[in-house]
Amino acid sequence: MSDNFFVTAIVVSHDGARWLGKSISAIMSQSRPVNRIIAVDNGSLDGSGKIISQQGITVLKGDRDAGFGDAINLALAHLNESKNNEELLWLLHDDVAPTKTALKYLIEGIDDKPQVAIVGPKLRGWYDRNHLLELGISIAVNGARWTGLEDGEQDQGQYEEQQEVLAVSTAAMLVRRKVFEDLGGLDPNLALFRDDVDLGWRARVAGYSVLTAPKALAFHAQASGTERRNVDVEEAFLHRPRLLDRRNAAYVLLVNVSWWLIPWVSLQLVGTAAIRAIGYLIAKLPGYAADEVAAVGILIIKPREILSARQKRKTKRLLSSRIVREYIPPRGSQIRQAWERTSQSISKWLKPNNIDEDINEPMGYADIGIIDESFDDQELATVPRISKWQTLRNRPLLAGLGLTTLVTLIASRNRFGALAGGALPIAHAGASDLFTKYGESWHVVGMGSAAPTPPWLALVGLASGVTLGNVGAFISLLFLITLPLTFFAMYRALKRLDLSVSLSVIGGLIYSMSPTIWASINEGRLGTIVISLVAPAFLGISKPTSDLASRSWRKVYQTALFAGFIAAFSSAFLTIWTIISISLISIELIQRRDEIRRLNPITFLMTTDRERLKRLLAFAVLPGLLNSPWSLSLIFHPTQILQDPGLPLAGVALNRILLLNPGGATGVPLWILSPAILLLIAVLLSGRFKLESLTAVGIFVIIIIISNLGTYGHGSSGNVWVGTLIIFLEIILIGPALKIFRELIPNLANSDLGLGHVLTGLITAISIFSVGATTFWAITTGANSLVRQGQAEVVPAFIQSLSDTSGKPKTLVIGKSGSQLIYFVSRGSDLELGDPDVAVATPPELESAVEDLISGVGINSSKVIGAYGIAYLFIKNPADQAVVRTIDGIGGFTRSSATTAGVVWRVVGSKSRVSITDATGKVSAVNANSIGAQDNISTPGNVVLAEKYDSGWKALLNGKKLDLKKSPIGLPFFQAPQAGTLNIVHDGTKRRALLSIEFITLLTVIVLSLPAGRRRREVPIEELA
Amino acid sequence: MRTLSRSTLLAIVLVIAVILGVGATQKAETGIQTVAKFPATVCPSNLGDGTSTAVLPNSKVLIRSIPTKNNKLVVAGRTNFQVGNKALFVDGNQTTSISVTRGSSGWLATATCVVSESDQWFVGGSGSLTSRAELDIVNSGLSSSVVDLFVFTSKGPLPLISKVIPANSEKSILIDSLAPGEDLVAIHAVTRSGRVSTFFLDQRKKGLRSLGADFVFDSGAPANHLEIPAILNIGKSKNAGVQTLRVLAPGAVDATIKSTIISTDGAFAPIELDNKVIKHGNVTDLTFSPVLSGSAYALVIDSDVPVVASVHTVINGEFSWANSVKPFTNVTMNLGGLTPRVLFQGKSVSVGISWIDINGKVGSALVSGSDFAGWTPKTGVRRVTFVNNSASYGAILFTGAGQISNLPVAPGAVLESAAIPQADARVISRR
Repeated sequence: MSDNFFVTAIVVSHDGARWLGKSISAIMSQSRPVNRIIAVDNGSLDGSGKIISQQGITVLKGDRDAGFGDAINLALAHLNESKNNEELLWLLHDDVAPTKTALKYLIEGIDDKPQVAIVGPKLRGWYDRNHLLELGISIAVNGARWTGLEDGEQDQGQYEEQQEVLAVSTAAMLVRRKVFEDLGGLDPNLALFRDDVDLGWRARVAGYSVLTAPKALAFHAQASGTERRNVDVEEAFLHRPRLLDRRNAAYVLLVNVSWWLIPWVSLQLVGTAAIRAIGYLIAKLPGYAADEVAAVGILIIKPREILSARQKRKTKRLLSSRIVREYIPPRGSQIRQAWERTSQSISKWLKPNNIDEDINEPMGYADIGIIDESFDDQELATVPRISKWQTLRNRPLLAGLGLTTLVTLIASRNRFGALAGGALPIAHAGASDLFTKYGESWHVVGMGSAAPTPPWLALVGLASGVTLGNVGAFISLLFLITLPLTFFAMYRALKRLDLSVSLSVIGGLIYSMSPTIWASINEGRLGTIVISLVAPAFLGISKPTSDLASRSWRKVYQTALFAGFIAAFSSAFLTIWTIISISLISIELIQRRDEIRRLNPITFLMTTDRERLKRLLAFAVLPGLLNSPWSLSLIFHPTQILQDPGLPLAGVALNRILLLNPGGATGVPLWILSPAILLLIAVLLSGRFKLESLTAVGIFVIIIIISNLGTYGHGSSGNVWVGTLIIFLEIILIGPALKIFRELIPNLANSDLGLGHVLTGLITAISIFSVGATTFWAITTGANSLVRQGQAEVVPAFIQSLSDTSGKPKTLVIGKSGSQLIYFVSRGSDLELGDPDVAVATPPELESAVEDLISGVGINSSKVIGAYGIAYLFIKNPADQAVVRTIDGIGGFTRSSATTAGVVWRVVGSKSRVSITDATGKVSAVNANSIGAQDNISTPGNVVLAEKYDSGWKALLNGKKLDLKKSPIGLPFFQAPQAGTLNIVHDGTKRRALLSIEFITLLTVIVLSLPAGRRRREVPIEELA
Repeated sequence: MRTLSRSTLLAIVLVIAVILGVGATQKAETGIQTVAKFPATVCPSNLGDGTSTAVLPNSKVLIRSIPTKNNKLVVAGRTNFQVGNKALFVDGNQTTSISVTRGSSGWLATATCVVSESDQWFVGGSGSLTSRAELDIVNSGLSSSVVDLFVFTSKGPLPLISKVIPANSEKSILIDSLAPGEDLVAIHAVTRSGRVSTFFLDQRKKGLRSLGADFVFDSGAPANHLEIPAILNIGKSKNAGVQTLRVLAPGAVDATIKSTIISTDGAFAPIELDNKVIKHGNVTDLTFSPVLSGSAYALVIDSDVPVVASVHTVINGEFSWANSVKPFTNVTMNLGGLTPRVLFQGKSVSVGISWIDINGKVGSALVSGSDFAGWTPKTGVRRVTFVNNSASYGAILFTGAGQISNLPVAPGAVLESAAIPQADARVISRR
């Protein structure tokens, strides 16, 4: 014993029998023996005290709810201080086992360094003995325990130097007794957890140093922190260690930081507690979430405790609290660590599902366990040089991706920029505008609309985050990469069906080059494009199986979430999905009718096995709920089921539908036969894949029935677009068809020439021709799509600028579609993304006025049109001269301009968006905003709103509600009995309530479909330490 | 067997699908739908010093005065509606209302209630001392209108006069203010914008003595061939009066006209009107005195350049203007119990006539003949419909005790047919 210290080891045990044996042995076999040893057993129930006493160690009995600090104090009360040598206390947990030289190196750390009061060992895992746990500890400003180590970091000798730290763990801490007692020992308010940080902090501000001695090594099981034993200390509310830990962390910060930092620290504690609570809720750990919130709450309700503790510390403080600043981790480190943890979690989550590793790929030596990388290098050196073309041939996936990318780049030469045309309106808005539009209860489209916004708009807004919120750029990007993405989506889906790389690539090409995909791109079918990208994966996860009852709820929620996502872009899908789910529920109930009859329905629902029913119910309800209130509107307006996002377009001839080629004038020519119809025939003829065949035939029949139905909706009339259904048909068929092909080829090779050979050859030849011809068409005439960049503005610029004035004038735009005269009310701008989806029919009174205007009999047309707040009438060129003459002659319209864009008239006597008519008939404008109005009116009268009538309009005059009425020409108006402050709004309470339900449902389903977090006690101990 | 059944199944499925598809086919664009409506017409206000009556189709038709405060249409309440000093707006209907104005001195002037016309030729009237002629411009629209007046006199055209007619108002312009002292006047009225109906009442007085009055109608655009189907034969007696053909060649070239009188006596070219050179731009009056046995006749004018023309008939203290007309098709006119003579002229006249009297009884007749034929309704005919089976011209001749007036058989408003426009958001979408 070369040192002059007297070392007293104090072991504190509490239900630590599992580790105590090894711990005591380790302590007793130190190369530098302890001078005396004493143990305190805090009411262990597992015989810990006995284990210790059997080693000849004095064991003091502490209370079961006593803390670590209490136990130390109890021990010190029984031990006189050494008088000859300075006494060092070696504080030891019952789950820590120091190595033989630990004490020796700890003493080396403190020897000849009078300023050093505390020294701690390097702590490594109890089970994973190379796992670094701690080399000193600190606390972040948000209360997190900070070790500065990475998760699971292995000890490779990277921390071998002594270093100054804020604190060291009490697990095997060596501390000068005098200092310990001067500082008041461990804070009795910190029975467990964070008492070490607090002690270190106090030592620091008292002018002492705290060191780690990395050569001193101890293995720590962290039994309390990892919830391997009960936490029974008095302060541990409901025995919740996390709650205690969080409470103590907050306590340490609040009692030790400078007083002027307390508000800032408090704010951070509350904020991070809330964020952590949300995180735990997402991870489905509500108990932990409650711990976070409760910890802060417990502390807030006991301010005296904090004040008293701060007073005590003040007496011992020699230095400013700011000296600990260098030991507090910077915010950047915390963010970096959080990011690393998140990305690790995500990659860990994704990795098990990654089944696309090509089993045919040759493995490197490293892969098979030979880690000498030079072997791989040697192998590479001997590989003969191969050309790029050969590389592509050997890598069909790469070739397919390359081909589709090249084709899309050439074919999209007219689609670089802000896209519009066909079914797709221009997208000028930013992501936030789309969110606003989604939340609004009143849409300023046409004469106004209270129709619920379809959720796809919010999803597109969300997705446009990839282009920094620029929706137009996102749409352009989406149209550009649709081809390679659909190829890859189908490739992945086919790989999941155990098809080879080559066959999967063929399937991907057939799918991505199908006429439907091209028609969707060329006609601006946003919904079909999105569905074509995600549906292949969806069909993979929602594959109907007989074991639905045993499918995990997480999978069920994932499927429902996915179905909800697709439904957002296709109301037809939502309807079919819901009908199928309800049908399956009905079938199940019918099949079990005897059981129901026997038990009566309530008992049946409560007692019998309902797992399958419950899951089917989730399928039936959740996608609709996730898309409410839009989905609810489909019940009241069923024709909307047949509408796709965007504008409806004219239909195509039945022969195109029969050949599953839905493209119109700019679609793939009919002579390039769509392979889909061949796949349908092949699958039907095979007699296998009965479910797929039945589903495909069902979809095919639905396609034919609805393809030529004319619909009015989305502010326009057109035919039902069946492209989305054809996409589903193709997805269902491609896999089975390729499987048939895979099995047929060997059979045909071994058989005589026959009909099978001819048919297979024919289908193959047509498919190859179809893909090739479609590619050629796409890069030539196919590039002249309806959707393109640089489409001219419709509404003249001066009308656009006028629309921003306080009167918010509207413009009636008249034009031609073919030989049909069409019109719509513009609010000063062209139709934008999402506008058609909320547009509703024009009020009949206005329709009639326009009809009379065009037919030349509408003597009062200008009056009605003007009353609807339409200040301008604009006929687009090429204008129908007869109509121009009629309008010139009918009266009520003063010609304003005639340019190459068209002819503009001013509507005589047009009203402001909101106006008041007094008793004398004098009309005054009321200051209107984009939806409502707010102004002081100086006279009583009728306040007329030039918007479509809707029961949601509300008006308050001097805070008093006015009754809503409908004028003879269909306008909403209020009778204002006096002058005063007028406030008109469209009441969106109902919509907000429904959106809240939708949002809560969405969050719940997302949380339930995410992998659940594990409680610490559920984590295998080997993973932790 | 299995293959056969699958093939059969496939075939059945496809056939069913095709049948369903064809059956369910309901094209959205099934062709353009049209709407046909009669526009509203306007009857002139009482421009004389006596009474004016608008003969309406029924008592339930909607009307309003021009101007009115709120432009609200009201039910007329009677068929013969007394018109005051405001023009009368009559809601669109398939019949033609007429306006019958009687002066205090006994003259009669009739007019058809008409819809807006953008281009009208009024050949008649005078700006001389005896003239009280006035142009009555009614703007029934809700925006102000601009009407350009091109006045032609015997000395040539006068500078353009533009008149702004405020919305929903009536403006009377005395002809002597447009062409002071000019005895021979023709006016070309062009409506630049707005819903304007123009009437021209020619009224003359010598001191306090009335010389008669009649409406001058729109003669239609200048043409090489004109037909004036109903002219009163006033005979050759000394007191009978004078008949004058007023002609204007508005173009840049002088016209040479040839005329033919067609009556029950046959057709002949009156020497006063044959091969006459009409100086372009100058209004020319040609007096003629045909000797005919019938009570009325028609005049056909052929010219080498387009002309407009009308016949002025003066009898004792009264006159009328008979203007050239176009062939009519189907016209329903409200006569309100009046019994004028309806005269048709054409190579082969065949006009189906049906009527309804004030008691609701209906009747019909077919008027046919070569060159010239006539029909007089029985007493009490409220409404009469003429269906022209040939390309005949028609006019109505009102004669009575010292009264004479002329009215073309022409609809006040034709059925306006237009494609029904559809509300379609695509019109404001870029494409």
